[in-house]
Amino acid sequence: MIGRGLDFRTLLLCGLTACGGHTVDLDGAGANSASPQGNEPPVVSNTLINGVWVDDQRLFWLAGSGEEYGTFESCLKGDCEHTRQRYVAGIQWASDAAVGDGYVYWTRLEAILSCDVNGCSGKPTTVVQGSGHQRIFANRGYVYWPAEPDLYRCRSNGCSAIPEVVAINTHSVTKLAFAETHAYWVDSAGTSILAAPADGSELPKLVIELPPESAAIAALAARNGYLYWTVSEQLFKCSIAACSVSTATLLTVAEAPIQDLKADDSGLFWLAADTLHSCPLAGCEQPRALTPSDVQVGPRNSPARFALDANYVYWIEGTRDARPSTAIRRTAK
Amino acid sequence: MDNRAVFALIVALALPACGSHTVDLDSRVVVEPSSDPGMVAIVHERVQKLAVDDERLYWIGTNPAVNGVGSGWSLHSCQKRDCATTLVTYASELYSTYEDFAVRGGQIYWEHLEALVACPIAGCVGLPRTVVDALQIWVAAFDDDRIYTFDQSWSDFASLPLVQPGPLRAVAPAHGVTAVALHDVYAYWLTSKGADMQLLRARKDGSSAVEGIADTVRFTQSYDFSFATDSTSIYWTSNALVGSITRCPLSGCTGTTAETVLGPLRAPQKLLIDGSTLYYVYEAGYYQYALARCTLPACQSPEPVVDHLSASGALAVDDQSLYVAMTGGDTNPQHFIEDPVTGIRRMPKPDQGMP
Repeated sequence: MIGRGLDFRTLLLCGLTACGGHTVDLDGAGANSASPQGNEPPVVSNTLINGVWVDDQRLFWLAGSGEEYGTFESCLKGDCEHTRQRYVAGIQWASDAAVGDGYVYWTRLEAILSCDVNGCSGKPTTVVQGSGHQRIFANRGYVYWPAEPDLYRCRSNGCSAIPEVVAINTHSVTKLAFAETHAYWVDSAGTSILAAPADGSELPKLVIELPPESAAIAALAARNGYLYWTVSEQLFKCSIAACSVSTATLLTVAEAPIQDLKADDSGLFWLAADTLHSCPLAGCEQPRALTPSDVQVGPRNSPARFALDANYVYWIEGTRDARPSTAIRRTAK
Repeated sequence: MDNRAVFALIVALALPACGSHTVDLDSRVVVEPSSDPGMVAIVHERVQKLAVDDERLYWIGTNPAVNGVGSGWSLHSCQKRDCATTLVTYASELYSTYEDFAVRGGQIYWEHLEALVACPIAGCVGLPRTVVDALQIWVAAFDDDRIYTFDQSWSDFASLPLVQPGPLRAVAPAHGVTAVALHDVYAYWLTSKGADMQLLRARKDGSSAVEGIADTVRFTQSYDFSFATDSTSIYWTSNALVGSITRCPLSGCTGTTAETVLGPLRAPQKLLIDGSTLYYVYEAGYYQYALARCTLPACQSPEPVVDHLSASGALAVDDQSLYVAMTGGDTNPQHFIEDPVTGIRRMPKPDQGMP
């Protein structure tokens, strides 16, 4: 039984070597996941999607014209066709975006901008200019971004010339999660998880440090007092209150390296190869496949490739020849 | 006061003294005269670096239109008291990895087509002299007779003679050098250590072991980085978006924390120490280069000097004065400006009257 009574290091090494790339089939039922559910028609189509987000009311996406520049848009989930609104057009295709607590954020050249999720009502707010952002993340009315060599934040309504420092010398954070009052991130080498108060009021502390021979941490999530992370095909958790390598629990082993991970009260959801899977928060021996093998994969650090609300997982339909995608679909969780 | 108003003021103070002007190698007006005693010159370039000696003012200016494409740069000098009629242009370069220069022993040195070249400060007679051929310079520091630099094809941080050809002299083994400073018999350099940067030193002649001066130097390539030294300490700009000015004793502070002299500052970049005065350039806003100063060692009560430098390196001091290059125009280096105009001003130093 995975996740109970097995030595973490043994499982880790197993995942890196002999068992790499395969689901551990402990009950002889076969390695394949459960069958995907049927898909509804696309929620958004006829555009090229590069990222998807969702909140209680709205669905958000970065779209492109197929040329260099794109848009950031949203719609009401209940009637997307008739409620589309555009926050910005003409942003670079490589732009990033984030959504949280009633605000949308996006990057444009060297700036981070924001608007109310219901619309900009005039000019967007310039949160910061010269941000040096690599990615952006939203949490509790703030936008967070790594800019070499540090991690910064500003309020959604902007900050002065000097942003707030969350942590220094974090270097190229691409995986950042929030839980309660703290931020958690994976270091630039991918072998450690660090934590600090989200307001930067204390120095960072080391939470997890993987053995030197380990593969890198590929995804990170936090929920209900637990941290969740992935190493290659393996998905682990530990209690934030007492998290260490020795207290970590292996929750499941996927069929392919896990690239993106999200957690909510209903479970864990991840992208592995080109399929979304789920598993209860307590772990599972056999993950459940939620989608056909047609999910946009994209570069490892590209904006969000799927999003969760209370009932659905929203995902970007991929194309076989690796061109940008053409639709957002949703599948019941 | 916004940028346009500031520059209107700069120009208003600089009414032409006469009809003469100096013509650059490319037949473009580069320097205009001024009746404002504080205005040394008005140049139709974006001044990036300034230096000064007893007689002359030196600068690198960029002007995309000079070269037609890209952001080429030119190297000039003029007499401090009569700039408009004494202009010398040493070089107009289309591209260089090292957009800087040094004046030593009556010669001015710069990089040209992967070579270190030099001319007399009075002006080149024919082609510049090639000091070192096949040398790609990214960072360098000069003492009276040598250049200290690192070419990526080398395995050492090393020096070469300036006056007569001579062999490479290793300072220390190195896999990369990001910044260099010299003080007395030591060379200091910044190099990577994993994801972090560290500050090291060794004797310039290579006769000592490498000493660690500071670990985990906060550094980003997004902004200019600068060292400065006084008789007791080495200072540097922790040049992050939210940065600081930091120092360690010249002998190092490995194992202890480097001291924050001043911060937080937005993107502190150029440092210049003149006696007990520390001048520092930082961003007051997005690409808004501001100059301030404080008195060492405490650096309490910093005093703003000017708010609209044309670039982070656009300042210099001599015995009498501070020189700054100011513009009210756009200073984002990624923006094309058809006719950038910069005023080079002479300003009093602390405890000095107007020149």
